[in-house]
Amino acid sequence: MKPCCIKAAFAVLLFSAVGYGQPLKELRQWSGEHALTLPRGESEIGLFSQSRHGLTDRVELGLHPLLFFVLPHAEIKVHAEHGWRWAWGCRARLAYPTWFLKLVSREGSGGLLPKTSRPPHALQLEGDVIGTLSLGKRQLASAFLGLAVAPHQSFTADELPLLDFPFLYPRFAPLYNGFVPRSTVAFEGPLFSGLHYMASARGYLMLELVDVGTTYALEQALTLEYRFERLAVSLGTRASEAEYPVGFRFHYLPYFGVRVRL
Amino acid sequence: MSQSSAAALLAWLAIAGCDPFHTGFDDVEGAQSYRARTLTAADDSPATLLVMTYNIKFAGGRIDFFFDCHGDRVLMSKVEVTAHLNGLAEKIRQVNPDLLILQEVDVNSKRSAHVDQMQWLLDHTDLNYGVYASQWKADFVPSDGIGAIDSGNGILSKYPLSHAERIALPLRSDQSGLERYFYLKRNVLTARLVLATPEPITVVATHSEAYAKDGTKQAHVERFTRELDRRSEQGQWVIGAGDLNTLPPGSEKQFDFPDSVCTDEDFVADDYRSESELLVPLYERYRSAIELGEYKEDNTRHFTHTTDKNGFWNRKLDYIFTNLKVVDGSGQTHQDAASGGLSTMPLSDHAPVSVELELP
Repeated sequence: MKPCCIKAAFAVLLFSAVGYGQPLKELRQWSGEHALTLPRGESEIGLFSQSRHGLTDRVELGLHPLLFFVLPHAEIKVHAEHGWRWAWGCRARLAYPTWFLKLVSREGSGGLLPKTSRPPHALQLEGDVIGTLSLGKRQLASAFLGLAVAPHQSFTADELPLLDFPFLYPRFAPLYNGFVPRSTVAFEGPLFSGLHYMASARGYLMLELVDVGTTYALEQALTLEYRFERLAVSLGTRASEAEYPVGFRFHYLPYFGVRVRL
Repeated sequence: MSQSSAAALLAWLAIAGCDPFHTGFDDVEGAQSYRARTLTAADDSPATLLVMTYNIKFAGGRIDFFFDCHGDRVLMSKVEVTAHLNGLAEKIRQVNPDLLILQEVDVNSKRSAHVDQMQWLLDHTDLNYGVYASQWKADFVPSDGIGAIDSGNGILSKYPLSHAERIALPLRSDQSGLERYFYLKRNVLTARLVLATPEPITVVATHSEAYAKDGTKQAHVERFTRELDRRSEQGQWVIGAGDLNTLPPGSEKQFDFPDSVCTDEDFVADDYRSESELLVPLYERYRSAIELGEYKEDNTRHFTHTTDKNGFWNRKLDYIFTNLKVVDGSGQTHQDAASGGLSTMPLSDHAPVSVELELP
């Protein structure tokens, strides 16, 4: 799907949603790209996405059950405050990327980096401030503003060449240039019956990135999800447009997800 | 990669689109054109044309890369690439060809620090115009850390080039779909030399398959021969050159070369016995830079390839064929200072071959 199609879809969804509102606390059944958190004690297991748990009514913990074993990480979302139609909160994520980088520094298939790479010990810290507005009948619009930083041991270009694989590229960019500001807008809501849409666009600003200079990456996601009472099955697409050392490239991949509420 | 994970990745590729990493080509498509930043004046009506073919190994010099099993290097720094290009340009300037046919020239690859080697060589030699056809292109090759790649065949000339075309060669059938998707897609690159000759002069460049066990190499050489034949039958003058990855008929040594150290079957190219007659039609129908008789007198003087930087050239893989008249005794294999004025061993894993042709 071309970026312009996704942008047009955002516009249609936004304008169709304006004018109606609903108390936000009624919408806290499923996790998502918004400032709301799962209710206390509620858990959600994702097969190809984050699993989450409502630690308190305002604190949600998250981690990816499969990814965790190659890229140890944890995420926390705090629902700071809400009114009748708005909420704001923040999200933080801590990851240790070194194992993953070692795993993909290999000979043969899956070798995203040369086997001679020596990834340094590093931490990745990401933080976002989130604002969410209820725009229509169970329609949510959210905006994220955040920063990713990656303190690490020093390394040379031979020890860790630029990881410029699509989608991973902006996520690992802080390792090479120190920090990456990013911003997201996200929309979600029901279409009819149990069918919901989720749409988001995220921009990364990569300052003085090795081999490229100052550049950006844009990612867009469009997902349709059918929600049963405790099971949600989703299908969608993820698109990425970014400037790499080889120039601007556009990539997309399909998305399939299953979530179960416990 | 296990069969199930390969199948899953293939399914993913199919769903994600026909060509998510942009590796494909049309059967016939236009070639990419180049022009030197500063043009150098060339003789308006030359009587002869000096032609050289050179596999420059993407300006990798004698670094031991993982694929020829002498080392484990994958990526080069810009400093290394530029140093190697300087060496190659010095050799090219020393020979001063009117027409240079290149194989394994990178134009935007991670392994060669994204240096556009076509443009670089045009800007650092007396050659003015170029055309390029990629034979390995992918936004990202997720194997061995190769990453982004764009490498192929080039034709560089002092004279303008026109009608440039990339003709796709058959793909290997002895690979899985996933391997084939990311593997080299070889081509025949053709272009016309814009010179005031009664009939057009067409340059046909190629780099044949090296490792296939399914007859792909034979199909590539036959397609290259057919392209020369077709144009020759139309009355055109033709110059065909490249790395054909096979030996001349009657070569004394045809297998078990001492520099072949790969144990992985995918990278073994060491036994040419089943293809000893492959080049017979070319030698029969065309004049060669190094005539077969001369080669048979002493094979070693015309060897053009070795993967061992500590050894010496041990087989001939690089050729120039033409239906133009060859200036007597002008064919040369540039092996070292004695045979070509400069040592070429440090520059690439191939030695260049040159010849002077009489223009009609």
